[in-house]
Amino acid sequence: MTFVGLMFRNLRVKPLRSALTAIAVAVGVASGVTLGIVTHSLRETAVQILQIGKADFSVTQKGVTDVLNSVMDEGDLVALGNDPDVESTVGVLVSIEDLGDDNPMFLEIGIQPERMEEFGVRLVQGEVYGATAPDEVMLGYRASRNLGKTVGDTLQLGEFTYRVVGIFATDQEFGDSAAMLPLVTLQATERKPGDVTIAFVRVRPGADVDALRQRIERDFPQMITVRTASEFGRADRNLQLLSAADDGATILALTIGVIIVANTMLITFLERTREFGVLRAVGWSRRRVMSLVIGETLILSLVGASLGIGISYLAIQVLEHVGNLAGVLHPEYTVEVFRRALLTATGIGFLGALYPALRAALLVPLEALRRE
Amino acid sequence: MIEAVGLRKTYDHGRVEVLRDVHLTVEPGEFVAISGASGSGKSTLLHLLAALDRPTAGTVRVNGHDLSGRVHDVNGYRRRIGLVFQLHNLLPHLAAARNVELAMFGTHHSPSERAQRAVALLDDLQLGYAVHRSPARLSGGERQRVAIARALANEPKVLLADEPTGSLDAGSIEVVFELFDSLRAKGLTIVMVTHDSAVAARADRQLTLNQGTLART
Repeated sequence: MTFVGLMFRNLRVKPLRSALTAIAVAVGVASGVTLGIVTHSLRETAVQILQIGKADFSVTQKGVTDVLNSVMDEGDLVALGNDPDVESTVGVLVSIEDLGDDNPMFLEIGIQPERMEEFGVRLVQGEVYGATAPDEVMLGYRASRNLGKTVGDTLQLGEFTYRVVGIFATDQEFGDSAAMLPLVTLQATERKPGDVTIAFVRVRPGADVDALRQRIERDFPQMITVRTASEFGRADRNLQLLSAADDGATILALTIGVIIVANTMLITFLERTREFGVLRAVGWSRRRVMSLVIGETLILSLVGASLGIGISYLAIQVLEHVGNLAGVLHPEYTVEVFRRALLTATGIGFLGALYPALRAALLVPLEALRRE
Repeated sequence: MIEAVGLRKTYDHGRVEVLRDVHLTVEPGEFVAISGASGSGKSTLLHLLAALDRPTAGTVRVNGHDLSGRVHDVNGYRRRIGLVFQLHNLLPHLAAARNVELAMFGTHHSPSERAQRAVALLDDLQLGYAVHRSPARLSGGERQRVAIARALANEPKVLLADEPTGSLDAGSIEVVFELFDSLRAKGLTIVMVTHDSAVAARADRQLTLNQGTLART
């Protein structure tokens, strides 16, 4: 019999209790992992908006709850473009249109046609819309496929009807699932004349990007720059709140998991006091007794982690088709997901087992043997 | 060799004196039986010799280990001492052989060596048929023999046994003593607590604990 074999034998003594403990860990893991995946997915989806344009960094309005609520004046962008380190700026207006259950968050991007190439847009079919055309629209090839629309078809966006004049590709999923309209047309329909949502900035070769960003944020205090996905929270307070909620919920799930596991293991300890006394009396060290208790809990935790990932997968499958998350949630089961599950489970198991294990290790053998 | 000088053990802040001025010397290979009424301190004396408790006063040395205060490598000492509990103290969810193996954790034996030795010991105690049985499926006598096997698992030089034959029938007692005799021939020292005068009579020396004091019977 190996030491690990002994742990498994001990766990089989109370199968229902072991199962319930594993389920407690699973719930903690599932909560943490599901929230983590949802937050990550939402962040990635949101960040893609900033990454549609081929730029060194993006500029949005500072302090908005949602980056799509950002409003910047085109005149400010012109002034920003006068910086000697700025090679070019492309301002776009972004709007969301609800096209039904399959497309609850259909993206409309208003951009001047002559800036498309700079923006990383390639025409794959048809032609580019006119700079001031009030009823022309281009569709990303994914949007074209999803909506079943092609060049020559009409497309209803809100109260306006457009004619699809071209199909484009941006090599970026979010952009390819969107529609592009002349900037002035979208500004008119959205009643935001002269406004843009995001500006994509290209820097001259050799220029110090960080210094330029600092300069922009100093000279235009109403703006904030974002260069990487991890910086996205600077521009989007919703995402900051979501990340905070994710962290809070994970800590809560972890705490509840630890309390449940600690409680269960404490009951187990009280029932097994005599057993620990025997083990100490026949020469087991305190460390070995502690290892036994912690090891048993970690086994349950690993079972719980596997179960938790399964529960999380099912939960996300459901969430993907629920209300506002439909079409927005694109979960990725990365190594990070499994690392998080393992860390959560190990954390719950270790912290939950620590106190009972210490009590077991510190038992005076003779007193333990006298307990009934 | 076991050497206790002026041993005293009290409980309840000195209000209950269980052992007083106990002197005991046991030579290597000797078999000593200790008798006495219930509550006379027999088990307490064994616990002191097994380093499960510390004396209030006096000194006790077993095979060079000073057990009077904090014992150096107490876990190693406990592994090297065979201790048979009065109440068997087998783990109910483990089969007989697994219970014997428990005493060998922390030694140099591999898991397979532990398993082989456990089976061999149970065979020596004529329990080969019960290797895979849980304690619940063993009689009182069988359980006591499993407990003896566990105490002998690490080839101890000293065996401390608290009523090891208390629940054994005559045949089983013979089996146990045959094993004890063969181990004594290899130098095993035995200190046995017993109520049974016939069993005590098989020892080299019989002692009686009376009101906390040890005397030759």
